[in-house]
Amino acid sequence: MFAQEELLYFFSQTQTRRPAVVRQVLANKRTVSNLFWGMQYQILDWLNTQPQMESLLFDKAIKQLLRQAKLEQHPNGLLLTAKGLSARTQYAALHYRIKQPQLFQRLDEKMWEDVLQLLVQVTSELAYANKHYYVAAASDGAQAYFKRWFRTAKQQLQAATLGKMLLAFLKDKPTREADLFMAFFNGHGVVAATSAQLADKSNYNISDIVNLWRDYAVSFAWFLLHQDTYFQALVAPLFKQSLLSNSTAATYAQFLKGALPAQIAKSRKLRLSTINEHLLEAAIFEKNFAFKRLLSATEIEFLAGIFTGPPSSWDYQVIEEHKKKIDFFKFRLFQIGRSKHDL
Amino acid sequence: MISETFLTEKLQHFFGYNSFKDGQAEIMRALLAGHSTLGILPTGTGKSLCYQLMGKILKKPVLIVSPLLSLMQDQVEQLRYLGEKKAIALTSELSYQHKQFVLQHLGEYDYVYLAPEMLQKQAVLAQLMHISLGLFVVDEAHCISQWGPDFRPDYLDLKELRQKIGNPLTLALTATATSAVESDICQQLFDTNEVPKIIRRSVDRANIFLAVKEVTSQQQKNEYLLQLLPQLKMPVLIYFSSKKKADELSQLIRAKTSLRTAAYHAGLAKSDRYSIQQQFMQDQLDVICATSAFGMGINKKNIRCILHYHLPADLESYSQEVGRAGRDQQLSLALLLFDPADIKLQRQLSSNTLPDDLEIEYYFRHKGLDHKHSAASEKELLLEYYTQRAMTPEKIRLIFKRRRLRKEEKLQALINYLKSTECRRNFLCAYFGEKRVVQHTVTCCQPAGQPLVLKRFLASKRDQTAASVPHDYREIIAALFKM
Repeated sequence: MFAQEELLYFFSQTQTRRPAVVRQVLANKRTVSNLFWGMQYQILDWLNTQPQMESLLFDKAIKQLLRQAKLEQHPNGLLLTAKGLSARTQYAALHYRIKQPQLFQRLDEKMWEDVLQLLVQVTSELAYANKHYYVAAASDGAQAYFKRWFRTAKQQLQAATLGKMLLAFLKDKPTREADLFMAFFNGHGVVAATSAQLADKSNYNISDIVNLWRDYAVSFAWFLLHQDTYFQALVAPLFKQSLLSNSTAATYAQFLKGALPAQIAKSRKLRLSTINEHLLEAAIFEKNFAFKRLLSATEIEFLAGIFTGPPSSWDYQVIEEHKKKIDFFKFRLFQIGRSKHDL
Repeated sequence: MISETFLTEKLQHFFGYNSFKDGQAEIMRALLAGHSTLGILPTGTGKSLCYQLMGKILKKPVLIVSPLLSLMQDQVEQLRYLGEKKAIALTSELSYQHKQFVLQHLGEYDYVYLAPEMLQKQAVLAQLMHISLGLFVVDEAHCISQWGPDFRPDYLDLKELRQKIGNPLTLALTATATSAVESDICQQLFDTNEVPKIIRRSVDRANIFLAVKEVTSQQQKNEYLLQLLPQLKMPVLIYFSSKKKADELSQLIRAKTSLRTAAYHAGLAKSDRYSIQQQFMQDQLDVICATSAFGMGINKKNIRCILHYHLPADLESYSQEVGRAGRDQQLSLALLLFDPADIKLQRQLSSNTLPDDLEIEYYFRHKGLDHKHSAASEKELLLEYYTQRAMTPEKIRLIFKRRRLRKEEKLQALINYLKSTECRRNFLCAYFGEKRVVQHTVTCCQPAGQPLVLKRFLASKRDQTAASVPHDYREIIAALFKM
């Protein structure tokens, strides 16, 4: 769920941006091209923040923003207009914006939201020694996952510990937001409010309320992950160790051990082009990526000589004009390295 | 012969109730005597308890075929609430691994809920053939009847599936069935040599006053509703046939009155639906603006009024929905707001669920339907069902033509009910083929043309003493964790 004006956050007054890239980054459609352009637009932190994004609704919202002259069409994409910037500023003053977007690509958010509801409800009923209650709506998978953890944690689980964790997490947050977050939980004698009811009682709309709840929920998971309590074992398996997709991680593991792309392709029985795509993805996400194992000093020197200015403005055709044989993979790798200031 | 005392002891032991509701004990006695049974018990008379208690007494698995995912989940939650851990809904919502686990351990569950489509799966049938079932239950059994309002083609295969698992002792349950539906259920579910016992209880509910308010426009309907609602005894459940309208009116009521209102329909997030149900159960809401998605599995005893903003599809749905009022046996009101223009809307809604001739032709030519239309997938499933059974387009056309005709007949019966100048309760009894005749008085219902006197249903003083809900996050945490 998103409000039309929220999309204005992802456009710039100076850099033309393709709306399809924005949509696919938000919805976590991970092609190397999307990831690369997402990085150029500096919106990669927002990867997977709207996994349910419907392209029809997104396209409709963009059309509407164009019609309202808040965005304008240019040959290479859309630019935010002065009117759009002013609308964005006004919107930002009144509405909630996710503060920790980067956590959404690390956590199994859907599962965690169900697990968190169960955790609060079950612990609350435990505090009152009540066994007869309707369990909060949660997927079957979340219930099974939670039960597995609960069986081992039950003996030491203290309701007050969870209460203290929540208090510690919320103590530095704006009170209004903390109140709204806690109003979403069911427990013993406590019935949650719906997002529509909370929107009615606050100055926020439903989309704000949903964003606030999701943001606080994933941030609380991150908080629990760094506390030395039995809740750590509940959240840790829901966090990804790496931002890479599974297949990319397998390729990158071999690369780290010293294998070259052709060798990896042979051992993984994949095409070289697929391995190259994996390495580009790793170059985008991994710190200390060894660019120089794939680009020679001469190639770097040549590319640095012909390309200046922001990497997003470079054109591969320029290399061909110099009659040099540097393939697109190396060109893109150099673009990524320069964007990250690693080359 | 099983004694009443034995059954009551078991009821007390497992469910904590001291006595049965009308019809329950008779059903159980019939089953314990080995007779497959069709139970026609009105909404709110505890149909589920019949098979739940049977499971406890027989100490063998009970398999329940149910048409709706949400209904199955509600039933499983209710059993879990009662402390029953071995209940499962075998649905497409389970993960692959979990489904495999459940299938391999099917015989270890006390209650297994599934949809007829799931029962058709070879892997499920294969497991069931090795299990000694205590009871086979067909819930919402009217879905088996082409004469019924919610006919589901998948239900037609139940007879064959039941044979495959050795014709176990069976209980078919429904809240409303005309005589035609009753005989259809028996014919479609049982072998010719089986004579099921039929236990029927009247749809008539003496504590529910039946009334219709005719209006001439939607605006007039809204004005009347806004003027009446704040005066009524709470809680009130208002039924709508559209999600959008339920949302709109819920907002309007909130804006124009001090009533605590929420909308409830399938378009809401699961967690919101759960919260609204809980708020309603705990009297934190006065009014719910709902579609027919609300009600099944919700057992609130003190609903004082059921309002129908739109026309229901037929008298079967109407009497089920109205039956949610006054389960505490206290005086309650069922009021239908009737704008003649609504007939067209309901006719459209009814025919929308069935493919027309053009769509049948399109389906056969393109092997699918155009999904630009919202009801396309439902229609496609229906067409798929019939084509898989090698039916020709001509035959399918004929089937849907007949079904449309039946729907129209049912709508006509509803219109007759609305316009009836006779006792409305007698009208319903006659419609459902009951011989019962109610002694009509001014306090039993309001026939068409008679003044609508609602004095008995108005609150003398609005009770606003509901417990205050904490808003400060520290208070919520303290309340949640007893800190």
